[in-house]
Amino acid sequence: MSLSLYYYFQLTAIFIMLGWTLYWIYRIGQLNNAPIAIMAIGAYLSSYAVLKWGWPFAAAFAFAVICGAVFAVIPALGLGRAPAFAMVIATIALIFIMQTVFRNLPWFGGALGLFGIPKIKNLLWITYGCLIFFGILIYRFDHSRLGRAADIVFEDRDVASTLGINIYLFSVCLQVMTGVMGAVAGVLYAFTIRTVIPVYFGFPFLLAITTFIFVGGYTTMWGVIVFTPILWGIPLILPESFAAYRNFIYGVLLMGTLLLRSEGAIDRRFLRWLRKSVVYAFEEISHRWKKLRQIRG
Amino acid sequence: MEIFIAQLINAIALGSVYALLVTGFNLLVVVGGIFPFAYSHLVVLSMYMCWFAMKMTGDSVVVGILAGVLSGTAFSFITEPVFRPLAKRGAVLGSFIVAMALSLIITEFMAQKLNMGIVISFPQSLQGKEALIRFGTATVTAGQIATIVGSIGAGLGFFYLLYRTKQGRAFRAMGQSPFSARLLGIPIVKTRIYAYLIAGLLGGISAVFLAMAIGTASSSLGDNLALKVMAVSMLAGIGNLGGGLVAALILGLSEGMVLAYLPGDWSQAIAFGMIMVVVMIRPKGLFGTMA
Repeated sequence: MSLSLYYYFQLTAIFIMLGWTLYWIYRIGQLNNAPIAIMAIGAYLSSYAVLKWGWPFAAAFAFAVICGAVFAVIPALGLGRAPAFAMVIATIALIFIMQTVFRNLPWFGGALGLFGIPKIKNLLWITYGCLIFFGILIYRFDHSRLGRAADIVFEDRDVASTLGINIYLFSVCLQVMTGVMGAVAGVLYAFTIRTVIPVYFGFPFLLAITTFIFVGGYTTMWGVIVFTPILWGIPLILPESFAAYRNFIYGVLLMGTLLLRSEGAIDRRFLRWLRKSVVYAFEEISHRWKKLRQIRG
Repeated sequence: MEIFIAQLINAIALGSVYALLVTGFNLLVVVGGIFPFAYSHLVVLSMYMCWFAMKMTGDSVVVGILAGVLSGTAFSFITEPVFRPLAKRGAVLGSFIVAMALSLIITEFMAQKLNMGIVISFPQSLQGKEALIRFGTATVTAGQIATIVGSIGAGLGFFYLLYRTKQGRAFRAMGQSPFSARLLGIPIVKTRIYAYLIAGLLGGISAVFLAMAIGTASSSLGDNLALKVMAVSMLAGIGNLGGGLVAALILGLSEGMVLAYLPGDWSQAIAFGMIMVVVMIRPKGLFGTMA
């Protein structure tokens, strides 16, 4: 496999995971950007463990994910009851705090970051294994009582409280889960790029992930899967003069989508139509096949 | 002691500009019914316009100031139709994401097209670096005095408009309840447009004062400013016009003191850390929302 294709597949999977972190917590109407900050923690801690302490990848992976989960609990406990905007701003602030901390701590290389991270064999399989695992988890969540509870919380928090849903606990649990996903994405990102610098985990990165989720569709998990490869891949195949305008294209697409089709390209209505169409197509094909066999004798 | 006085004056100057920015921001939140994340980016774009105007007219300060103020007003007015459908359906979170997209577009435009993305530096004539008052080795420059006095003047002018004029009553009525304001015969769309114009005017004035205070501008300044404005807004309480002034001064002072006494680049981390603590303990801000 060529190097460019490898990076494309690897980064697409990581961005899908990050898109899912935003999607999952937005199921209850909260826009939580903390997974990007926790991604930085996962990336830095795993790289540090391998480079400075000489740990094997598996141990560094586990260490970074556990630290990410522990770190995710701290703001989650405070932000569980926060209004929507408070959470958005606080978590964006968290991203900047993390950037500043890593930029100013000499052990993590300061502004130059950590580099020379060793190559991991079969990283692509590990990444897609994690992606499938989280995909199944989110799919099971969506098609369970928890998913239905999340729908009610999104629509009307008062009704949800009346029905006995503990919104605070729900929010804290989702924030921790998405934090874990963010930490995993961070570890995989660090070992893909093999360099970790503070500027990677900043605001433009958050905006790109936000574009993937909102253009793809925030009401289902499939929008991110379909649109992340497209939105990430298009600038790579455009001529260089256009590729430099990637962020500009993302901004225009995000604005256009939210103004014209606020639920994104792939919403639940589209999925229901798709399911009906596929079922109808199968039934038609099977009916015609039976007829053809009858005619042939 | 002299360093403390110098940093204190610097911090007050910066805080007064933040106060002006937050006032414009809160006006759009209260009357516009949106979350204008891209407001600071429009202010930075106005700084660029001020710089271009000065470059084209041989560093004319008057032309630069006019260009900054007028472009700020115009840019804000242009964005009103974009946010109108979102304000109508009360999609405040949606307006935040649209504003984020707009900020991305503006930042990219500044990075790719304006001065080839190179940091711009304002002429000394605008910055006003001449020392007017001295405290030993510490000085108070003409630019700092102009920033503080100008910001106070603009702020007082705005609050006069808000509390002593018919238009100001219309703004406050819309902030309380757009539905009731419509029943009272207040023209909603027209009032909203006026709010955008005034917020743009405040933004343009802030752009000029920022050019005086900082002396340079770059495409990434918009993101930094936007976060600080949002942080101040959260600290005070979103939409709280009066509280925003106090919170802006608190942020300006803490940033100035941290810059003076702590190594490295910790001022941002400390400012945002303060915000996180306030949000977790008191999510509605120190002074409550929409006063």
